Amino acid sequence: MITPLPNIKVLFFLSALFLTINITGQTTSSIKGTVVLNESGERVSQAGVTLQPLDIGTTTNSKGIFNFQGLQPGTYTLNFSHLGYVSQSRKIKLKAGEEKYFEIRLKPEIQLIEGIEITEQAFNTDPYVKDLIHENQIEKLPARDIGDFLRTEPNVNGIRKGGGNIDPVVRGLKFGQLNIQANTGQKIEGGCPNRMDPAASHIDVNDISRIEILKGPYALRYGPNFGAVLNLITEKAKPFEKWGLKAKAIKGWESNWNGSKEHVTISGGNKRVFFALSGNNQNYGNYKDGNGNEVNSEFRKYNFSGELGFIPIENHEIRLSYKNSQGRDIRFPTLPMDERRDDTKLYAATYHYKNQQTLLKTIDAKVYHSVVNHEMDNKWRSFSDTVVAISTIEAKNTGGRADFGFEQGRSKLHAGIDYEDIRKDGQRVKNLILQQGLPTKTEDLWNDAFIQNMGFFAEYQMEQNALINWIFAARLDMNKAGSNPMVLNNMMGSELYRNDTVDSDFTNVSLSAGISYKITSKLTMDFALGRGVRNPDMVERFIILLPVGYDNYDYLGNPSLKPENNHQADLTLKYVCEHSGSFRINGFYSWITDYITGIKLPPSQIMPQSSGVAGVKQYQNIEEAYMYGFEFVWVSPSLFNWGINLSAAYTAGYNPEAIRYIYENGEAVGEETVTNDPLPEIPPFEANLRIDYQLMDGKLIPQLHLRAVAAQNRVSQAYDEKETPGFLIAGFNLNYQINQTVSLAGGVTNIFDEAYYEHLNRRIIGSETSLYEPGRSFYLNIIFNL
Amino acid sequence: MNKFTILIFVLAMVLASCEKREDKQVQYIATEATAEFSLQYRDENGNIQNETVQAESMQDIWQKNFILEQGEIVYLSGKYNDPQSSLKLIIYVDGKVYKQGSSVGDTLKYLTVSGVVPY
Repeated sequence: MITPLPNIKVLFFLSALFLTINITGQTTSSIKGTVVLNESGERVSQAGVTLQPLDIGTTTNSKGIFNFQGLQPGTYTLNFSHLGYVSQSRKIKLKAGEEKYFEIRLKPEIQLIEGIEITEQAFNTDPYVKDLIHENQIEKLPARDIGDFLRTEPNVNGIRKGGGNIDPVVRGLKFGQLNIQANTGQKIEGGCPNRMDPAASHIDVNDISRIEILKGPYALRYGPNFGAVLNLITEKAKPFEKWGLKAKAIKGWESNWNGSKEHVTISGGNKRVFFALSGNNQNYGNYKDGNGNEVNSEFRKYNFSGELGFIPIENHEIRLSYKNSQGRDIRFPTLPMDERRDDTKLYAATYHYKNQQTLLKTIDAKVYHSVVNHEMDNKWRSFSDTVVAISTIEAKNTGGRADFGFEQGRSKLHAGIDYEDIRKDGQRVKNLILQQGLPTKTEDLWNDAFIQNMGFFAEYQMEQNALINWIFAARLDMNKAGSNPMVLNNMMGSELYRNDTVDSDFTNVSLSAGISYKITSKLTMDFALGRGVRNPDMVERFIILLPVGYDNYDYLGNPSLKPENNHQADLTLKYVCEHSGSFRINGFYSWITDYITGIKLPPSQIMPQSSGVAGVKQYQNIEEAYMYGFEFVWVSPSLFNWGINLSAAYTAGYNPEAIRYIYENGEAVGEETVTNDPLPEIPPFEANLRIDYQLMDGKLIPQLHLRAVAAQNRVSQAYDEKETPGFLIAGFNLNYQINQTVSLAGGVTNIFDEAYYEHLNRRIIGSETSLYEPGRSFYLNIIFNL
Repeated sequence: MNKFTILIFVLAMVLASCEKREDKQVQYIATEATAEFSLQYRDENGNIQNETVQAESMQDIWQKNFILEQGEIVYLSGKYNDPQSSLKLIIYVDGKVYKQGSSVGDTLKYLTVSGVVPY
């Protein structure tokens, strides 16, 4: 049963309650501080801190905080050390009753740069929103899947079709509208036309070191960017000062799913040669929703990966990596099939050069090859008693990028080239098992389809003065796509559909500009303006009559589609104060031209092939659509034992002139124009509140999480989208660092066993019921750092 | 506990949990025929086999045994020409009846039992 959204005031009451906690009463001298990475601002846990001459020591907690209390006045020396970073010392004079607080910035011994080099969330100097998720945030929660975990971020949502493999949505943009990549540049193409295996599903969430989310069409260095870049950075091999070996292991359980997971990473090496090996296993059963109903959501995944790094000459670094990922028996109750088998192989070689003494400061080059073998069938479905359908698809993605970074004075220029070649081929074999001779019918799902994209990019950053930063970026993409003819035959072998016009060529220009203006020492205003262009993806171009959309239609690809263009503006205000914390509020507005959507084709032109669908829609460009929204984040200051993170996000979109079809007895008998029809699959307003408190010098941290999601009443009439009720859910977790080796993270999600579903969750196939989210679940993760 | 003992323990848990999909014992049975009948079935290699069987009494049993993975297609089809005869087809999975069908005095149609080895 769905409970209406409780009064939002409850959230603010709770936050006010916690804000009243007395934080005064310091009578003894103490030294407290935070250890962060110099370049990224990322907090460093497990850093060693010793205090001389007392000869006592501690390590930083998961928030990078250390604390020495009950100290006598005098002069002390603090020493900071962490494997792979330059050790530091700091002398401190402490007066009676004084509490000293400061931040230590550690520098890596050998500069390693891979990733988009995002500085800390809400504090970066670029004029658009960049969010960063660290691995220690993931470890604390029962993370099963990247798409699932990303839903904790403001204006990041996901489309759930089963237990795992949730498809990310950023500010209402999804699928080909997002640029999702691994380790800065490696693209992965899922095989399934129904997106059972989106790109993010091929990276194990437990391998993640950090996730970078660059919102808007502004970052143009990382491939074509229509609306956002999601960079999934996995655990990397790191050089060690001397020969060293390090290991990390996680064992996790989750009650509701009867789920368990294991993760192991072993890294080692020295300054010249270093490696990392990792393995994961996830085994989850069906979960129960808040009504106690079992949802067919089980899945199994296991994978291993290895990376080898060399520094043959100073400033030159080479890395070779391989990842093998397997999925088995992944259920999708909202789709006509389940994924029986996923076999993914990812290969990559990267080269990194860095030299502070020359005009050419950096070179980042990468080549990669991704192969996804996807098999799905209907063997778990009741209709497999008549027809057993098995689809096998191979999707390959080969490419690379080279990025040259120049720096002189206050100016930085990055320029380079990237290339991507996507190929897909696959068939569906239908075994008519009740018919004599077990006849089979073979259909092409993809018919040697390909998309190639070559891009040239440049990004220029200029620090005009201490107050103003400019950034300009441009990219030119040359896109080519094709396939063997799109053909669908009936059981007798005659053609139902044929399209020989399958080739296309486009040249696209994307541009962006932004300014960051420091109004005061605490307040910064950012403004960014950009045009991002994306080419139609494989599904939009080449799919042949499969029900891949939100609505109940067979969809037909359109090789003649034009690229979709997003013209967007973002305005962001950031306020940072050590006593009141950091605030960030952002508003965005987007005008999309040549918007790609499904338009119904008349039955006289083509008949649907899937049972129970209302007809056939073909992907077509319409003139325009609009999107807008905002995000708000407040992070409390790190001075205190308590911490609060409050965020809120909203996105809306509309199609100025949509077509709605009128049905009688299941058949479309007419159509009407709907003015300003909301775009489908846009998440509603939501707010998140996290409150934590550090006990035992930060070794024990309880955290309460409240998530309030409003009802979604802005639904598309053209897509027959259903309204979704709001909900409020609560979670609680407790993190306990037993010692330097072992820590525990446990808790409960959906404490009150609320029965709810997200607006973006798909409907159970053959019904009007949405896929419910899991009910109450207890979990425990044991984390070993060796 | 030694740090690497913990690591080995976790590694052992990872390896122990990588189980294989289960194999199942599948048995095709054709019985209750009193005259010649023809059979068609899918074997363990996925090939369709044809066979003619001479039956003399209803107690005669024709059978084939396979080991198949969960999810494999099982298919058994039969036809007889003597209107006085009959035919019963059964597919067992791990000793339990998975699918069965019978026909008496219908010489015009094939009798088919089929499905996938259940998970």
